[in-house]
Amino acid sequence: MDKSLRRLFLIFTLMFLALIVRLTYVQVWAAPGLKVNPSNTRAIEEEMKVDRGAIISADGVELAVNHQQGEYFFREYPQGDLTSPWLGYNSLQYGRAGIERVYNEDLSGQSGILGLTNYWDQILNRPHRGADLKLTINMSVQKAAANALGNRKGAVVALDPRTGAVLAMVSYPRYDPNKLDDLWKQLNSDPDTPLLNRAAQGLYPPGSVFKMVVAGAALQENAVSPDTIFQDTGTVTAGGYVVRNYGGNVYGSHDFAQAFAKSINTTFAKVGVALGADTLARYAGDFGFGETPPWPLAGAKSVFPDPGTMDKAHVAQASFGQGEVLTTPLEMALVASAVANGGKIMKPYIVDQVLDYHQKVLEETHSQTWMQPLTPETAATLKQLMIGVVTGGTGTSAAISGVQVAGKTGTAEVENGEPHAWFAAFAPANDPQVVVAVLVENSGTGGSVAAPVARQVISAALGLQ
Amino acid sequence: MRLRSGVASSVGLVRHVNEDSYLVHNGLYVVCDGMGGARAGEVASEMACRALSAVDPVSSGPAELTEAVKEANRAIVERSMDEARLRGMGTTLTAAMVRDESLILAHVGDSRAYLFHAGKLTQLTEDHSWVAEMMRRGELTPLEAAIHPHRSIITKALGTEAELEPDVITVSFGRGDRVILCSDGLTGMVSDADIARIVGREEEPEITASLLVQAALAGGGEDNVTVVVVKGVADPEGLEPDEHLPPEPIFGPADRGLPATEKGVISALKGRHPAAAVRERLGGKRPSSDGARRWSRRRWIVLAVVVVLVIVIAIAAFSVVNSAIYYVGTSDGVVALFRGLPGSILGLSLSHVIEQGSIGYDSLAPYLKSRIDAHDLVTKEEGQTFLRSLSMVP
Repeated sequence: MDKSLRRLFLIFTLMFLALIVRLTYVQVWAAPGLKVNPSNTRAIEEEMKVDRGAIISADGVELAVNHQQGEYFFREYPQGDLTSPWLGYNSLQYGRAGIERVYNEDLSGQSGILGLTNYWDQILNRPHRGADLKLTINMSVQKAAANALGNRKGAVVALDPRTGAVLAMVSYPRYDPNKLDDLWKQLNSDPDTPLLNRAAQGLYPPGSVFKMVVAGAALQENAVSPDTIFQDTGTVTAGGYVVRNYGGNVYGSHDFAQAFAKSINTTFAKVGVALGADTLARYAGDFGFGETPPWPLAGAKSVFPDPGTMDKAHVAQASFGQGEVLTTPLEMALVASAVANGGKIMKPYIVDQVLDYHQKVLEETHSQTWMQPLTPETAATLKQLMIGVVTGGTGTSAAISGVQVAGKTGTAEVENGEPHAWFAAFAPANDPQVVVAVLVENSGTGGSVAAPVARQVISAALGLQ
Repeated sequence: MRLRSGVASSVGLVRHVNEDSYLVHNGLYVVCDGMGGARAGEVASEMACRALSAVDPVSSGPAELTEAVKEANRAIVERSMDEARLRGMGTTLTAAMVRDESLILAHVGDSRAYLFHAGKLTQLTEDHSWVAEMMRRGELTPLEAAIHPHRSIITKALGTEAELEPDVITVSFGRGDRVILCSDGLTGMVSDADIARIVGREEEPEITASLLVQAALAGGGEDNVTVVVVKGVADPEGLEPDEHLPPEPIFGPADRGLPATEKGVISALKGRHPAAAVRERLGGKRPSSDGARRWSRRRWIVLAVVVVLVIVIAIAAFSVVNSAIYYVGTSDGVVALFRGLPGSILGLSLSHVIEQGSIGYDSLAPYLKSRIDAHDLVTKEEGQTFLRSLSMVP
């Protein structure tokens, strides 16, 4: 080879080497980063070409569908803000949340067999189809819950205590996912946190609704029975802290069932102190406190304080759900479901089935036991106490004619403003099909504000409207 | 120069028909070994000899001889086209013409010409046979060739190609020299050394010829054997007539064996056939004739049958495929599972309902309607699952 030819060869060799190095870098090291780079419009374009699976309620209502424009698919949420707490959104700009995020692999057809057909679809240049989701949500219950709560800050959860299937979950304020891209900044800076699913993520002092846990512990530990007699003088002092009944009421001589029905704080403070911090903490843990809710969507851990740090005053306060105890409406629904379901808590779930385009079931959720805090006997006893709340206690406004409702009110006092109104209930008491937890922020007593909401939701769930 | 010649021909001990032919004329000698079914071989060989008899040995040279061979070939080809029973006939040809002390040979096939000169036998012709070609390429030894199962396949013959070029050679031929023309019935049975020994006995040509035929029969006589022996006996000026021969050419053999109706067919089938390669070469070049027209008519029929068959198979295949295809659609406003393709051909619907659903199309959610409208092709199971899931929608 003559000299100039050799030089040319060398130059070409170097250029090819440079090319190989660069391509390898781009394809191997940089590709994952480039794929998710927001300025990579190609990734967004690819995403828009997927015929994302539909999301359908248990009663066949379209919750998320697509409309096609040319080769692109645009997500639509026909139910607007009604579904936003759990459905979330699929935004090209702001990513995904809720079911749209957690089940993205199914919806965009990347999981399982659909992932394989993806290659076919690419080869045949036809839109790739994602899987549909059939939810456990019943839109008539969901609508009833949203209507009952209205424009009050709070949350409603309804689930089937036998399976854990979530029938309705409402949070207010909420947002219309169809307008998410426009509202994004506003939603993020709103002090009322409309992006937060209060039902599963909002942590609140439970107030007397927590007495379900304390009563369960006391009954199961044989510390009391429903007819154990207590004397109320209006106050009781524990560790220097004076416990009063709500509204300054004085109840005199009464049994434990009455203490539960009328939500007598002094008696629960005595029972709680007698059980001790460790026992209370153990039962709280058995009911799911300190655990992330066992479902695929986001959820907050309910909090019961470390028993080692609790003095008597703390224990007394915790006994009626004040102090440092914090919980979510979902957790209170799960606590009530233990009473309804013979002591067992089923894992809550919201996606019933994953289906292909022609409605073949690809995956199905089977109900699973999460925890068993109570024996069936204790659960049965506690159920009677909860029936008493509705028949002759603080929760009479939850009563439905012809259906026996069991419940527990809560009026959680907060530092500023009206107390949070709570009600947890299930019905029919002899064959519970629905358990409901209602929280209305800063709105008054559980009996007057939350119980009527629960009544409407239960009626809807039992098909009584 | 004066010539003396002798000829002998025999059907042999195995065959029933003698398909060899010869021509003996003063100065012109031909041996042909015919092949082809149903006595076609004898027709071909005799045609070749008669065609060659047109050559005048006194005035002709190699060019005229070559042209005569080509003309004989064309005549055989044409006749084999015209007459179905003669289809595929052919013949070898080895012709010797003596004039002015030279011997002009034209040769096609595996009959042979030998020159006996000064006590030594020389083979003048090269066999146009498959084993001979292999031998020339060094792929077979002579011993292997002699017993090779395909030794009777010849690669060149009159009647198998529209145009054919014979080998033509000229050698000197003087007093006392002999030329022996023979079919392979001799050379397959008698070794060159034995031939040389018999020719070396210096008998009269008639005797030499019949001795050679006797030797072939003694060696097995598996094939027809024909031998022509020509001897240069005196050397006055010019070519003297052979006193033994009549002025007219002699064609032979007079007796060809049994009639065709009895054993000729069998014998013909046992005979040789042109190599497949030779016949193939012939196929493409057949001149137009009645036979060709018949052939082309038959080709059209075959083509039409094939086309009809393809259409029938295509329809059958379509029906099979069509009956394995399903889709979910609507029948009178109610969802249903259909077998076959959605749509129709010439007003004939390709599909029919095989399972009726229990829900009206109008009561379905839009996303389900659009999936039915898509009329996606599915398997039966998929279709049933889809249909039944529609009916379960609350």
